[in-house]
Amino acid sequence: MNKKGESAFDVARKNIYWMIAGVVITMIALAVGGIMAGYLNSLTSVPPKLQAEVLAYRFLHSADCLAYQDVETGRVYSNVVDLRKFTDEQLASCHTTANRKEMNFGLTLERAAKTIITNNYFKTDHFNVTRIVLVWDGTQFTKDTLEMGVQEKI
Amino acid sequence: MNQKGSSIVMMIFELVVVLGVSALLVFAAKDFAQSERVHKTIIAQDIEMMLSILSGVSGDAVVAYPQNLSAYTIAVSSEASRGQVIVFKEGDAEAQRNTQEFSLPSDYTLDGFVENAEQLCLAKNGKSLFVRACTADESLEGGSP
Repeated sequence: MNKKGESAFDVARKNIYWMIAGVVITMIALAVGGIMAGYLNSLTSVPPKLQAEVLAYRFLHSADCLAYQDVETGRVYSNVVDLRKFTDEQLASCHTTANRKEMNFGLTLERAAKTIITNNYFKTDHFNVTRIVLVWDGTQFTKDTLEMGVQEKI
Repeated sequence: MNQKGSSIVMMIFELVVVLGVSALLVFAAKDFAQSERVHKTIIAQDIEMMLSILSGVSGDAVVAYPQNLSAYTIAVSSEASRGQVIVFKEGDAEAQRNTQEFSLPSDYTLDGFVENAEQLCLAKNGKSLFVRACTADESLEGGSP
């Protein structure tokens, strides 16, 4: 082959090499970025059960959520569910999510056979939080089990 | 250009590319490895959960964050049943700030801006939640880091 032919071959060879190298380098850079982002997330992730417990605390301890409040004394009874507040609207005023990526709940009082849900709950529970509660129906207290189905990001 | 000159230019180009990519990866790794980013995220998550718990407490309450936050600025706000916590350092760009969002009971408001306070206090007064620097008494109650 003459000199001109060799030179053209070299240029083509280098071009092909750099095209492949460019793809490989980009893939390595993306992989490194992905691994680092994953590591950072693993360092700062909050256990979902802890987040669910925090919200469950709010449901059962706040008169603005489901907790029973004595009208005369103003005292709020923790872990006592007011059956009159056990509605979707009341739960929405207590915990509303912006989308399905946030934690949503389906709350069921087993003995009273009533279920309420948050605005983006689609019955795809990832785990449950259970509490033994008292239920105030306006006349008397009864013992019941509150099953909270927790739906994480979907 | 002759063949020798062309191969030297190509070699320099290769070196520049390799050095550039290496530097980029090292800077990215250094940025991610900085504990600052992790600290800001953890502080924002802690404050978010503390405020979420406070919103469920019946009556008024004050709680101190049990760590020195003098290096950070904390900004909290709310809009339409959504609370927001932002943790950043002076001079941070928008992308370096850590923001956490969470749900609040309706009618609850969240407000506060605390700059370089040694101890941060989170308080609930009726349906108002706010953050502020702790007073001397509250700092004693809250305990030291």
